[in-house]
Amino acid sequence: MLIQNLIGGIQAGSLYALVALGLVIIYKATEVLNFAYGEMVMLGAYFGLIFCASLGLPLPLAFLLCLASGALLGVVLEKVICRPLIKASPMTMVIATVAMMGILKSLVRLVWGPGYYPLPIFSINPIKIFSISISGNTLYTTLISVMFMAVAFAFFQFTKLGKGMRATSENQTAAALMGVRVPWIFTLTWGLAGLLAAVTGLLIAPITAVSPDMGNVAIKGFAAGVMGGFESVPGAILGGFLLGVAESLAGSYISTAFKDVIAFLVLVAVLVIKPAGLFGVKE
Amino acid sequence: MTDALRLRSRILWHLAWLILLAGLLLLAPKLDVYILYVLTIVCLNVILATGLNLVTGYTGQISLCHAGFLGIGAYACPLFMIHCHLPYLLALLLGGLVAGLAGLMVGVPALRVRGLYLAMVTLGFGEIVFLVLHHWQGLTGGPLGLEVPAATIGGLVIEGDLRLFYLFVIAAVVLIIIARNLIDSKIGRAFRAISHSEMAAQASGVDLPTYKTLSFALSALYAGLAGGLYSQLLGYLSPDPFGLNESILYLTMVVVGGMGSVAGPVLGASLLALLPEFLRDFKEYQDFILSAVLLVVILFLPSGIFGLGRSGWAGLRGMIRERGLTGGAGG
Amino acid sequence: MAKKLCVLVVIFGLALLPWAAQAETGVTDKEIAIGFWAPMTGFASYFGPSLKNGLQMVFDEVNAAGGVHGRKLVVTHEDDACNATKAVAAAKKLLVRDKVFMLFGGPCAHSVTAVSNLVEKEKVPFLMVSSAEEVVKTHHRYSFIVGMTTWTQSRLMVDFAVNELKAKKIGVVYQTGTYGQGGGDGFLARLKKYNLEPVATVVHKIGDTDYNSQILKLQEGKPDAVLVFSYTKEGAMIVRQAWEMGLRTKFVLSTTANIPGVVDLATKDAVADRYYAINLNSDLIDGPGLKAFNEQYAKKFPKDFARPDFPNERDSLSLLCGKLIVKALTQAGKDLTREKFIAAMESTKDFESGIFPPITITPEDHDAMKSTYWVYFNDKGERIFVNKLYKWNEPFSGSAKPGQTPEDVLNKELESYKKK
Repeated sequence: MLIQNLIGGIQAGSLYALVALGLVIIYKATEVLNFAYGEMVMLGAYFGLIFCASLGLPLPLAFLLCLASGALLGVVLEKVICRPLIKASPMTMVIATVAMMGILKSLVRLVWGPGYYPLPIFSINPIKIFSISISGNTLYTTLISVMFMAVAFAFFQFTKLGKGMRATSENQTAAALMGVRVPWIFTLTWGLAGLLAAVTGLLIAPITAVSPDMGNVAIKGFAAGVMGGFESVPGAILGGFLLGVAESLAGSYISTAFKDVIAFLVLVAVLVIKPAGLFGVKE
Repeated sequence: MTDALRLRSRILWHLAWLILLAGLLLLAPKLDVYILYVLTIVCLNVILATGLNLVTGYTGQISLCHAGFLGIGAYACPLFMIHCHLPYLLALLLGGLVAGLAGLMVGVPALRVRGLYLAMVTLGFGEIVFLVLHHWQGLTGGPLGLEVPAATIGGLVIEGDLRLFYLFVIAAVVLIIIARNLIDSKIGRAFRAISHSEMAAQASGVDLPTYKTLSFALSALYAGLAGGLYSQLLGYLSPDPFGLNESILYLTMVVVGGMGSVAGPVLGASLLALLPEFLRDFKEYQDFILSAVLLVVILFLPSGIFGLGRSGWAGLRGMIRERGLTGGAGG
Repeated sequence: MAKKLCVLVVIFGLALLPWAAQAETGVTDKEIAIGFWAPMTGFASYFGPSLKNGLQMVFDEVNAAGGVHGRKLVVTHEDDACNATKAVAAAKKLLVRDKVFMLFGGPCAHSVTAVSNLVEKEKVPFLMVSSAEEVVKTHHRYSFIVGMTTWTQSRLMVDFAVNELKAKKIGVVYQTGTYGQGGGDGFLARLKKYNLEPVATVVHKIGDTDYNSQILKLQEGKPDAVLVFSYTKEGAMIVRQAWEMGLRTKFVLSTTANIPGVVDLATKDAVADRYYAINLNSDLIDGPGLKAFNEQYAKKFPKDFARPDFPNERDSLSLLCGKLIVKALTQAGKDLTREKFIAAMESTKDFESGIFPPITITPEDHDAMKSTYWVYFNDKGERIFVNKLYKWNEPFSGSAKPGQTPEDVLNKELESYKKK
């Protein structure tokens, strides 16, 4: 029972972690808190609808197109929101990204209507290990999320570009002086985040169907990222898994009614005790 | 501007407000219930936005949980009336105080976090309040709602759109005047100092913890009072309108209307309450238009329309002039 | 400074100007004005078109034939965005500015409750498509509800599980919020009739995507049947995740689960031979019995018809309401008043619409829908119409009679179960 709980928690957590990852890399590189990220995820799912369902393209090609569209979306948003807000206060940033959230959601509603569209692109049967069932969803969601997270981590640690992005997030002026082309880094970061958002959308869509309100899942990703520490990529990822498992355990051992409250109670508690998040570094 | 001119413009400004107010109160019996209802909602939003402005516009702290404070006040007031048999005005004040206490509670973690993290703490708090209102059914009736007894003030039952309207307008005016006096006082100056620079404020002797928590508590008090008024509006309460989306809407009112000014929240609240009514013919595009307007305003007028400093209206003109001269900067 | 002043004056001036107009009553020689409100924007905007289209289908036909007693039916549409405050604003605008004869709208629970309270004061007839039991918990003379309430649905679901599925160990799942809560309360109350306690009771929130904890709790109880009162996606996800986690049981769900497309959400394997839901129509929504309805809908609303799961039950409910309105207006006669309309509505007995079982409305009970059929997925994952009419037969109903309080209603029910 405990194991089953943990597995369920890990599945949910892997999605939260993926969202947290996308949020954190934007924040680290460009200092923008992107409330519209949930809608970027949602659009990723709609890209899936266009390329996989409507156009009926072969799956691998459709996937690539979705990821490319997600990246493009990220770049466009970077030009529209991020550039003008570089020196803005947190308040302005919050409102601007919230406005973007509203714009994206209402646009999608206008074009596709408010209903939901199923998108069953993956269909793997559940596997059973001893008496524990692992659903197909859990498997590929967790595996793909972890894969992307590992790639992202490796990217930031080992590649020149990745190091450049980290440098930019530490200190823009110093990075610029060292030859890092800061505006290019911004574009790249948002593009990358957009790509991750598209992946997340494609992973969630088979579970929840594609609808304009899908983006609401991002709130949990925020909570996870903040809990783990928005300054730290591994921290945010761990925060995601932690949140997923905490929710699952709370739901089973305390009360299903309080599953959601737990998430926010934990969040507030963590921030009170350790204001920069569990793995964050106090500025 | 010379002192005499400044004084004259101040008098004119106050006179204009007085005329507007008198006009509204005298005209009210002639207006139909629809417009009375809409204006009542405007007053409600004005009270909330004015309070939110105290913590956000003046003290510079983000709050994403003000719908939660509204909800606390909205439930506390009728619950005091039902369970403690208190008269409406007393219940209203107590409800506000309960919300104020909640604001105090949020203010405490606010001391330790800033910016993004503060936004998340307030968000978390708001969600917790929302969920508690939904789940604590013994107290709030949960999602099935709470029947709210009609208010009586001095023997007069506040029933019907006209009386409700008068109540709301009077409350709004009183609370705006109080806010105004607060801003001009030592407390208000402390708030503004904190918003400019916490370090500088501290250096000049402003006790940060006291004033930061005070700003939260006061703004929550306002929201709680607005809640107690709101509870009279429909005759019954449900926990639905007290979630994150509403908190974001109220923040929008303050930011768009103008932070750090008294007229700002009034403008923002009016705009955001009236705009949907004007956009009734464009129903499907309403959400999009509102969000787009918000984005445009925030990008070009970050302090809001009536905001102070370079980011306000005057600042925009200056900025345009500058751009024209230098041909714009950066990409 | 002067600029600020001007801006403020202009705004308030604009606010007041066009709104001081006056008008007259909702009935003229040529027209009857009907006010419509539903969520046309926002997260619930999914419901809006259905309510609009069904009504329009009936009214267009009647208007083409000359109207009711020579009067055309004219509808003004407003939006409530599923928000009670906005619903009241919309209702007030329709009553005061458009001077409508009656209101039609729905389905959000808080909106219909708020408007129901309003029309009771304003003495305007209000017909709603909704499942909100709150509306009938107090007797409202001016409100009529079409659409089976959560109260009735949940109890009939228990009856079905016990009598049809022969279930002895029953698990209960419901979502937080008005809709789910009503269902959950109903499950727990009705089970008392059979002297049963649920083997597991779990809740979840709207929008949840992970039901791991809930399903684990259900598994512990080893249920023969699980009753679910949630929205479409949530119900489908519960059923699917239950199957993926190895829980083999039968599920009985509410009307929200009665959507053809649900098999895509829940997967065929999960629903095969274990998914039952309330089906209010007298056949499947896309079945032969409703062929004429579907054809007409496709012709009139091709864009909506192309979207998945259109037309749905709500479209047909709205159509039923259209027919009821026309019937009552006709019966009320050429000398039309609101009181006569109410009287005509209250004399509806076994009204046949062709797409629902017969509908009855009495002066004591404005809750029109008390009987339902069922739908079930067979082992091939095909939807099968279950031709078993479950009618609410008890001497009490969720609807309070004039003079009764909600407590009276509850007590009557519990008393009757104790007698066993």
